[in-house]
Amino acid sequence: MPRQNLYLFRSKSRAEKFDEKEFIRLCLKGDRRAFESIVETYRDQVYWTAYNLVLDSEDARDVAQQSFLKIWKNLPEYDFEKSFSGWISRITANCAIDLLRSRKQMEPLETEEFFSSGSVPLFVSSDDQSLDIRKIFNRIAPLLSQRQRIVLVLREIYGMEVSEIADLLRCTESTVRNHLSQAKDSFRKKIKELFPEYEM
Amino acid sequence: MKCEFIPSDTRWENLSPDRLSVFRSHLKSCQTCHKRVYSEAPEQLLFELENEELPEDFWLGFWSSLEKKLDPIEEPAVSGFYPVLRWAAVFLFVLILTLYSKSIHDPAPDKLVNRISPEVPDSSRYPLVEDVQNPKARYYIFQSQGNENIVMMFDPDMEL
Repeated sequence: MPRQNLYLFRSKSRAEKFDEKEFIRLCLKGDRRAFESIVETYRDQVYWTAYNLVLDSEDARDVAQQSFLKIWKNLPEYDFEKSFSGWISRITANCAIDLLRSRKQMEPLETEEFFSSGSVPLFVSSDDQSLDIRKIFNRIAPLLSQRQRIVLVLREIYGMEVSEIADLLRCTESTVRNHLSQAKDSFRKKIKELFPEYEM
Repeated sequence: MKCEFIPSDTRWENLSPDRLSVFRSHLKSCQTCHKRVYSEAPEQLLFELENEELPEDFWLGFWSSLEKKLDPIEEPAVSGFYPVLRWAAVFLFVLILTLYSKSIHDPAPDKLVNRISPEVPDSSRYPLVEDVQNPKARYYIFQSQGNENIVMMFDPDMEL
């Protein structure tokens, strides 16, 4: 692919016409410039997926690097019939969970302790009175246990199946359902407590 | 203003993906339902969490650092040496195949010597043996697959 085309895809309008399947095929032939275009197109998505799970900007950037390495390595296994974006999200979630696991921050499956060790997000939305889901999420997510946060994010934001989440967390589906139920309860309680201004 | 599009007793976890998609589209346009869902099941609004575009500065050095770590094995070899190796392998294979098939049709030289005559001359094996009276003499008959025989005689007393 000519270098010139790479720059064309940096503009948003061009990105909308981005033929990802064609770029994936080029990547499979070893074309790194095609992969650079893929990275530029999906880097925000990968970063935010990682951030929503690890809640730290630097860690999220590291996870993004690891995720793209894994994406490059596993491209031959990508099923062209399935959503590329969804495939990327699953890989990113996997990398984020690996990072949390490597730091041994994953508490035992059945614990229900809350912790508030999440670092302050770098990118906080405006502080107006309109319902701002990003602001609410950034405030409440660190207050949930890691397991609760992970299942809530993967299920409600990325729409993953319970079985998929169970595979990622290496636990049973019923455990995932328990954590999801607890996460929802906690999320509701914290919203009422911390954002009463949004109540009807 | 009241809206009943999304029933208040909705069990979100049981909705089909299509139904969920319809409800989410509705939530984007109906403030009444949006407020009610926020009050009843706020986690259902997490789908609105957007990926804000990060400043370009944030990504400085990201690609260059990533590119260094990309596994070169994944990239197909384009060097000129690779085709040469491939053709060499093909040639070697053909050569081995030819030699193998030849060895099947042409027995090894030692197999040509089907029989080695006994050290003691045997007059019944060959007429020439009758002429060799010397007990020190040895003769060997090489029988090929055809009708021709080759006789080698070793007689220390023979005068040539």
